[in-house]
Amino acid sequence: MIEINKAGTLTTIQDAGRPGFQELGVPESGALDNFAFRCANILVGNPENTPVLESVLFGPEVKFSENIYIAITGANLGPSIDGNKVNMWETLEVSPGSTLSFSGFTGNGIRAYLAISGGFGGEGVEKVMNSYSTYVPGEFGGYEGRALRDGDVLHTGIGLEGFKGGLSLENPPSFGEDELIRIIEGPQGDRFAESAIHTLTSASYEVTPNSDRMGCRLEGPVLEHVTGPDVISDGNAFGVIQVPGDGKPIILLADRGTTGGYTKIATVITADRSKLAQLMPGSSITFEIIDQDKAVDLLREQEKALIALSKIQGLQLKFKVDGVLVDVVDDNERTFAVEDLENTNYVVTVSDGVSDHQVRVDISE
Amino acid sequence: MNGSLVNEYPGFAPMGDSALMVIAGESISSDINQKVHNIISVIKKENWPGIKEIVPTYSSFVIHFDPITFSMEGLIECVKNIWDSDTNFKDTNTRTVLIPTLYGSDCGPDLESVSELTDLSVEEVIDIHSKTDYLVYALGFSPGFPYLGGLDSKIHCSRLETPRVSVPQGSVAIADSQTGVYPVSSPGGWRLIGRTPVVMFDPNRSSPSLVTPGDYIRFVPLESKDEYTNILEMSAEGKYEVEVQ
Repeated sequence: MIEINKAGTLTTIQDAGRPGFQELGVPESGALDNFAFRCANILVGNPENTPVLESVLFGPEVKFSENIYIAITGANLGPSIDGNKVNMWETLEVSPGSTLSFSGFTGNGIRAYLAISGGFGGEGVEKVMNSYSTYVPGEFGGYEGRALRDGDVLHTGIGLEGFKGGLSLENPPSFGEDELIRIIEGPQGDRFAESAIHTLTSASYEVTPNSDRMGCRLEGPVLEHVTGPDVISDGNAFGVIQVPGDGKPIILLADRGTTGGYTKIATVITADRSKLAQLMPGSSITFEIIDQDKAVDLLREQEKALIALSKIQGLQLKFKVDGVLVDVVDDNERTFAVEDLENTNYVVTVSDGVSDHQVRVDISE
Repeated sequence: MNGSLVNEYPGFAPMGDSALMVIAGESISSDINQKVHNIISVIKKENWPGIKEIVPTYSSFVIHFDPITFSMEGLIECVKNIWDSDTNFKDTNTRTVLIPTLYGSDCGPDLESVSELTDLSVEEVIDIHSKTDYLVYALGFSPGFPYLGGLDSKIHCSRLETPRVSVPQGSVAIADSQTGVYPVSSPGGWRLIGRTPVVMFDPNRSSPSLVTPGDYIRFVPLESKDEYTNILEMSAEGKYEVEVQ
């Protein structure tokens, strides 16, 4: 049993989100800092897409009644267990009756993640449209479709058998007052005055307090349109920078509307989503344009860090050929891992050193 | 790839490193929208690796994908290659969902004002609104809200000057050249001409939305409040099934 003595600010259950339903107008949702979220789960021996708690600025006070593994990642909100400061980004073991609390915002990010072995569950925790993520405006998912309140009680599932703990992430990210955010131009760069992209990449923008899980609203020099701010409503992506009529950019995040009618000047790269999730109101950011190849390289580096961590505790898939264990790598020399599985059947190319053979592989639970 | 919309179709506008906007045209037309839905169906059948989801809107769609598994260039090439493979797709895949609707009275408080603004009788407005099959161009704004096209120009009318703070769930409304149904109670400035007792969107249903992009909706007038109440009660118990043609 996990008692939420104090809920903290906007503490919600989140997982990887509910992709697949945007065509019905349902936002993607999910942990804003996807890297921190996945890392937290790996550190407690969970499959990566296991529900965690996301808190903003002030973490919750949580009392545990079992001996379990926990991990805290993302923003440093000053975690301690029974009054003793504890490390972030590593496996922690808590004993029955111990209490986790947070001192609050320390200047290093705003969103902290708490994972526990087995994940958060129990009565009131709903999987809706394939996801446990809480979508507060729609009042569904997570715990009764809402942020946690003081006195709520959650439960934990069963942790990974054989998990021995003792993991920590090398070189964990930290977040500051002046973040550099990398972007790719478009999709509608041609709907802006030529000066606009120059303004965006040379000026500094301030993160306003009017930012939430839907979007990060910025204050700074106005970005001018050529023929007005409206387009026929089209799709949005995480990190897209839309510019309404007032010329002030808004970076759209996980709870964004699935469609929108404002021009979009540029899009933040996937590898910088964590930075977006951790932007402090009042801090300033600058933008730098990079190209697709560089963006994918940066993403690959981030993936490598998580794969290295999950490998330590054996979460990669095991393939056997005639009973012999083999490593299976994808086109990018990544070891194929559990989190890669979105489909249940794959065409696997097996090379015997002379020629390639294609084998269809069906994967079941 | 210069991050800009282009004037030939399909147009490609990358939206960051993990999403690609594919543009089929630049106006609101049922032909362009049909093309969008058809191409999405083809892509879904192709089962390309790394595709996370595809989100259609009026004249474009966005492919969300994993760029480590599938390159942006490769994806663009693949979409180009299947662009013309959707011939004769339309006839076999179209669904028309019949939405029972009680027009007027407290369910459609703006029906009288629409009648006045359009110089038509209430009966004529109902007749015109319910005789068209409306294409579901896309869903958005809020979960399950359908953007419908094809409203007869005879009943086009402006939005309310002051939007309502709360529009009841199921309200059937019109605004300018658009018509739609409010799936959940929300603020809104469209003119309410009726209300359906069926639950358009329920996050806990196996198919959360009654309609999906590319479907057609036909509003079928209910004769009486009793009929409305009857369907409302059946819907609440999950026992009412809409007719699909």
